[in-house]
Amino acid sequence: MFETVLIPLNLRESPQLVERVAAALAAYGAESIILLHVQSSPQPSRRSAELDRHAEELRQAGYRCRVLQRSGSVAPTVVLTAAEEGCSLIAYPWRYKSWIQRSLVGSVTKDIVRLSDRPVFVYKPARVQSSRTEGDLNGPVVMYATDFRDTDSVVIPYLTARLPDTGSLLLLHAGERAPDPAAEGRRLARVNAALERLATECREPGHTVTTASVVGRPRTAVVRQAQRNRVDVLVIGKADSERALATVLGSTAESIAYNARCSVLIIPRTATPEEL
Amino acid sequence: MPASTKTTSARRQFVFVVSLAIVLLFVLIGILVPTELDALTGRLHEIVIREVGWGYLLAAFVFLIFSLYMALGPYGRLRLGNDNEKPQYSYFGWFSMLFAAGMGIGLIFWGVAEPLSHYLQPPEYITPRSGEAAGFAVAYSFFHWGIHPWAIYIVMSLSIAYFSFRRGMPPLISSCFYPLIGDRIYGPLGYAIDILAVFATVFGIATSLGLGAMQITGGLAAVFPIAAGATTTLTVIAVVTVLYMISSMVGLDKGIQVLSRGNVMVAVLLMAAMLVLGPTAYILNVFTTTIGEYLATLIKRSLDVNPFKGHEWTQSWTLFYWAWWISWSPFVGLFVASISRGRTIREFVFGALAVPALLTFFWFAVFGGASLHLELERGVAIAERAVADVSTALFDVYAYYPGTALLSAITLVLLGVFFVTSADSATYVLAMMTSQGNLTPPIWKRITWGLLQSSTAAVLLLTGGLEALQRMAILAALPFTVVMLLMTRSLLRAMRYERLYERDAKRR
Repeated sequence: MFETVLIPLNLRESPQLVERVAAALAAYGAESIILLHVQSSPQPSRRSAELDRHAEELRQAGYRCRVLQRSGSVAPTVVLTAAEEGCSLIAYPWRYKSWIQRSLVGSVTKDIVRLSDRPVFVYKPARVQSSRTEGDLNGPVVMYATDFRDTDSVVIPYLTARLPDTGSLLLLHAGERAPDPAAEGRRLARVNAALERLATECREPGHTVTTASVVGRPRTAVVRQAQRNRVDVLVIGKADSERALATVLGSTAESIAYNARCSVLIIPRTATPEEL
Repeated sequence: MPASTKTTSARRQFVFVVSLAIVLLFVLIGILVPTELDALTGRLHEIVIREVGWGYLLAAFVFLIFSLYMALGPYGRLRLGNDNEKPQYSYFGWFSMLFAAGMGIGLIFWGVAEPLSHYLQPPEYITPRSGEAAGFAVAYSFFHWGIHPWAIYIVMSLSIAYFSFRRGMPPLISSCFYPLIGDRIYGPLGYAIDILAVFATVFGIATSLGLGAMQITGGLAAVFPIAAGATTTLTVIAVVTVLYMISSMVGLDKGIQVLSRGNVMVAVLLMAAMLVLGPTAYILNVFTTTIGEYLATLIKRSLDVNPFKGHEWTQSWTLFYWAWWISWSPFVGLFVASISRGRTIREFVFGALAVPALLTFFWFAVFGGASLHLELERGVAIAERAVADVSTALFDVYAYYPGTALLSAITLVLLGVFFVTSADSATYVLAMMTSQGNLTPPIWKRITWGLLQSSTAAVLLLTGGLEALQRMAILAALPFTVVMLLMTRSLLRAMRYERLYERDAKRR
């Protein structure tokens, strides 16, 4: 379970939104919530009352909750606080920014995903999803986008043990096409075998596990498939790339976290589920 | 015959039938309304060069960088074939065929005329007929015929060779797009790419043959007491057509290879003769100086559209050439790919970049240097005549050096054989492209394309539609630039896949 979850707030969120984030986390076993507000100025915040009010409402809704205030640059401070407080997850509601805003001031969402060595949950309200509503009769659909790298061994425990209420789990592989038809046939056979092996590992009583593979660049294909399959939570692993292009353009995980139209759980390769 | 077999057969002939229909349609237009076609293509050509000419320059530079990356980067050791395969042709045979297909006839046509033309009509910021104009003339001749055309050809031929010999796909341009569009290469998109390539090749080769025939006629008139009229030109085309059809029937190994080897030897001998008979030290000074300038200004000139001064000159020469090389690339690319099986990417790139370019530089230094020596040092006003009739410029220069008749005769042989090798390789490539990449295409298709390109050249020479046809070939360079840029992406993706998932797996 995600025992202690850090939720950074910029205090422009509505109480309903904060409660929905907490509710989503409760479904994944969150026991204790820390609400954090990071301000740029070291002066005492005039908005601490708002933070307390959010906390109070969560307590009234039955959550264990406390508040923290820090000053500094938002993303590094959030990541540092999560480490100091021993949080097992950082979760926050997604904030839309136009490309001009992102170009000018950057994206905190992407920065936290990039900096964090702990799992990060980017909550996106149902209204940004295609047509599905939360609490659909068929249960939530979770999609794990795998590249069959070493992140699988870190992510699988989350899929099997930490997402117990999953209605159905879709295992997706998005990869680039092989150079010729014969090699493509071999690639597909390999991918399907690997997906089937993963599906066997993930199968739990009461879960439906399906597999799919698509051709394309992962950062766009995964987002498209999540939308097409009306996914509620998209799970992705994150491996820090040392490629120069990824350093400039951002990792696949950062891009998916920002562009997917459903909530995204990003689990870094460095996350250690045993300790959480 | 079962319906499915009929369908397969129809699909197999689709590219052939559609290409043939399109080519015949345009040739017919060129015959019936040559003036209108000339005006239309002239206008379109002007618009393309004016609006997107910079794109050609940028693309050619990208192709050069890409070629160098292929040779020096992590894929340089990959072999265009199986890992243990040996090259099909010796170095000399390979270089000879490369050179004959890529430059050949054009180099003889422009070897004297281009430096003299730049010398006489440089951009407006250079004084015509000055020492500065002479330096500029040779330097830009080097630049136009240097490593850029070969970098363009390399992108095309490397992609085709990789996908056909290493990945087992048919040697077609559409095959190179499998990593990007998958099985759609077997559909309308793939057909469109191959048809465009046939279109550019037929029109490109027809104009080249037309111009070559004019030069042979001019040369014959200079050596023998023959009138340089339409009858002579048509006879030249007819004779050469018979010769290259024979060469084509004999096959690649015996036909084109033997002719190309012989021709390169004759070309080197001709250069050596001119070097000895001409102003030797002057020529070597020109060569050394211009090589230095070429290397020093390579990047600057690669990206220099000259928007502030001399823009029109750049448009009519550099941008024209770049578009011409790109339109020529499907033919040369396919041909060079078909003779490069078994070479590593590194030796392929360095071989195709360095050797033909060096030979070309020497050619321009020898013939351009000798003609400029006449102008600058001996006071012979040869430049006007060269610019007025480009096809006889080389023969005009011979008149001022010893052994005129012998040099002219050797040049005529050289022209004739280059004519044969160009037409032969084009016939082979066209038949291959329209036979789903069959490396031994049926004889009847070779005959069809051979006769079509010769008759197109002959008829349009008479009606005056040859330049319009050349412009149409160049117009095909615009979509082909995009096709080639995508090709680099596709090739990189395929090689990356191989490195990540196949070579590493083999090692394990």
